[in-house]
Amino acid sequence: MNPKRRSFLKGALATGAAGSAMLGSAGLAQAAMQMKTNSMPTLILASDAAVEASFAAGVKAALSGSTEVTLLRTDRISPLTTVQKALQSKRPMRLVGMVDDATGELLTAMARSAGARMTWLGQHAADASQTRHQVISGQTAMGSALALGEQLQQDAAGFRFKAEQPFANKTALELSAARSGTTSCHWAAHLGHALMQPNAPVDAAYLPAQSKRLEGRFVSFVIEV
Amino acid sequence: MSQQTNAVLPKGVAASDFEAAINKFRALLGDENILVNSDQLTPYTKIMMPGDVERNTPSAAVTATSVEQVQGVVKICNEYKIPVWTISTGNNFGYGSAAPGQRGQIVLDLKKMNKIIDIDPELGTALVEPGVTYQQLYDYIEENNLPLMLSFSAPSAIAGPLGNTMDRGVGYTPYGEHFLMQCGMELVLANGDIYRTGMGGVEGDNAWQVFKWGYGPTLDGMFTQANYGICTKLGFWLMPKPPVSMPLEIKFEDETDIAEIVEFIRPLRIAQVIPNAVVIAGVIWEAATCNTRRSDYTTEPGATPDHILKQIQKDKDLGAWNVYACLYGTQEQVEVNLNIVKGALKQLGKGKLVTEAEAGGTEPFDYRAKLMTGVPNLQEFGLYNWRGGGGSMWFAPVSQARGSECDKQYALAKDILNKHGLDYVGEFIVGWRDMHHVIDVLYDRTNDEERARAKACFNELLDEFEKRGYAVYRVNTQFQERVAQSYGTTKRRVEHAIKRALDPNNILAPGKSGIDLNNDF
Repeated sequence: MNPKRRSFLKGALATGAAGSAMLGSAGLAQAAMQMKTNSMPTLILASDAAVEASFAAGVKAALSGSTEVTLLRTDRISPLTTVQKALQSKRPMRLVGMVDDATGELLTAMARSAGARMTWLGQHAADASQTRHQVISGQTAMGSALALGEQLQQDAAGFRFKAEQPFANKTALELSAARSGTTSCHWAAHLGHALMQPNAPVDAAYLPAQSKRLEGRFVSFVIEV
Repeated sequence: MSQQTNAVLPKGVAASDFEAAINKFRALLGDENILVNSDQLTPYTKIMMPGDVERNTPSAAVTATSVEQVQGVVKICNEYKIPVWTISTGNNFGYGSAAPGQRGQIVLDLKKMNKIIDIDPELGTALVEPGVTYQQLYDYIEENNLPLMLSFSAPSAIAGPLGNTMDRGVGYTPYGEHFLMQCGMELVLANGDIYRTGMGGVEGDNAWQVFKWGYGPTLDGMFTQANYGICTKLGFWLMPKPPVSMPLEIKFEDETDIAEIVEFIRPLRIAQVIPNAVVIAGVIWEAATCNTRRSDYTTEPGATPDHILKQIQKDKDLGAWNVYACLYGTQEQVEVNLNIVKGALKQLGKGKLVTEAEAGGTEPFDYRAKLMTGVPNLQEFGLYNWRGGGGSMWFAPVSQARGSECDKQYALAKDILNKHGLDYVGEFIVGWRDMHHVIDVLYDRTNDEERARAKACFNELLDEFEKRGYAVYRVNTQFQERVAQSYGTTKRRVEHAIKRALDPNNILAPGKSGIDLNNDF
């Protein structure tokens, strides 16, 4: 573990929020699960070109070359039929995405209706000089939440980050920084990567140019069938 | 076997008792119908209300597939005093979605009870289970070429008639007052008994779906927006599909036109010249449902200025108010009624009438036409992208169908919303003599300051409307106790007396509509 990360985790643990998800047995279980799930066929949903270039690029960077990956741009094709088919198929599959609010509501409802596992659910806002992130963090997602928090600490822009842990008797992990730098789309690339591999750094070659902007409101998710 | 990976417990229930109850649920329903893992429960926590998610986090979700299993669930809940929040399709967006009303309640999800038990095309009746969706019904009607038309709420494809009717939701056709069209319920009571309303208790009777009242007290309404029983079957009436449906839009230029619009519509509506639940939608509602985002015009925080709304109105060819109505019948009937509408409009001296020939194939006309002619769609989800950020609360006061009332409500609502930096995103739905004034309080949940403002705004809306004699007919689960207070102590005492009689262990959805035996009544 690099020193920056160690320091970040230490800070998060000091808040009592992070618990032992990363460092304890649950963290090991999560790592084992990720090895298993990273070979699952993966459908990536991206709301537009900017999300494809950042979030989806991060997801792809984290997956091994042998993983079957399909990308669906929801601004071009309604994802509902494809997602419904995936949810109803008996085939193990993972759906990972960053979409607009309307699509996010619908896909969450569809996942619930199908009885699928939702290992991550996040709500994101990116304005010119600040990003905001609220995630629902279950046990298996805490590593991804910490990885996103760690990345945000390194960004030039200000941010607010809150990981609610509604299924634990723990306070939410909250981080923030007031900065005047401009937001970029790097957080989304790191998020995509962290959702697949929270313990590994993203390969810079997959990152979009630092100057690329990503503004708007988004819902991120990982659904496993 | 899925192990529990969350620490949420029902209020007042010891971990050992909860574990014992879960084991009994497993034996009753099978492992696959018991969700206790946080990953399985996360979709049940997607709320749009301002409070933290933890307030509405379930301890477990269980799915039943039969009435007998629902009875079994209720028995176990009684044994361990476990509160159970029942959902049908769970798509009550903006009113609490699929999340339980209180932390720790288990969710009884009836999505798998999704049989269309009967549709009678001659009598125009249906009997369905809780998990049946409008899309499912629509497909059935189309596949079997039945001469029937559905009425549904806006999230039509994925919502269902049982849940919508039990929450007294409304639609946009002549059958839009859904509870009025309800005919016969089957309910599992807290003691496990099965109670059928109307004619349903008479063995061998076949009039359950055609005669509402039965004999003696008629209790159907008591079970809606309530927690006295779990509805496992619902009968309702379906409109015969008319040979001709003519959707219409009338655009009005100025926001000050609202009073005159209502005075123009009311006589036509009461006389059934326009028989459907007419909608009078504001400019942002219509812009959002044709995929316009606030950020397309401004990224400044706060309420969207009027000059921008005027620009949107112009760019999208919308009215400040957009009236949607539909005429039904034979060609002759429709033509007669169209002439009456045109005559009234001429007398009014304002408003531009738009027909399908002119606006067909464009949004928002198309999705409105679909809502009024019984074709499910999801176009209205565009509202959630207007401001974005996942916050939405329906503020839905009712009023008389009078222009002066609507004028007053509109001005008051807009003032309060704008004061809190939020937009008026509203529509009036014209009932026979009432107006449902439906406002979507949209805000960004990722912004704690905006969440606090939205909450304060909602409280102020409730307070200020109440001071003027208005109350909402339905509300999200984080405000249900507050709204119950608007309706007075006597009503609440009666409701709690019924609760004590029917559900002494307080297991069925405590808190629903403010009814909870832990309250001091």
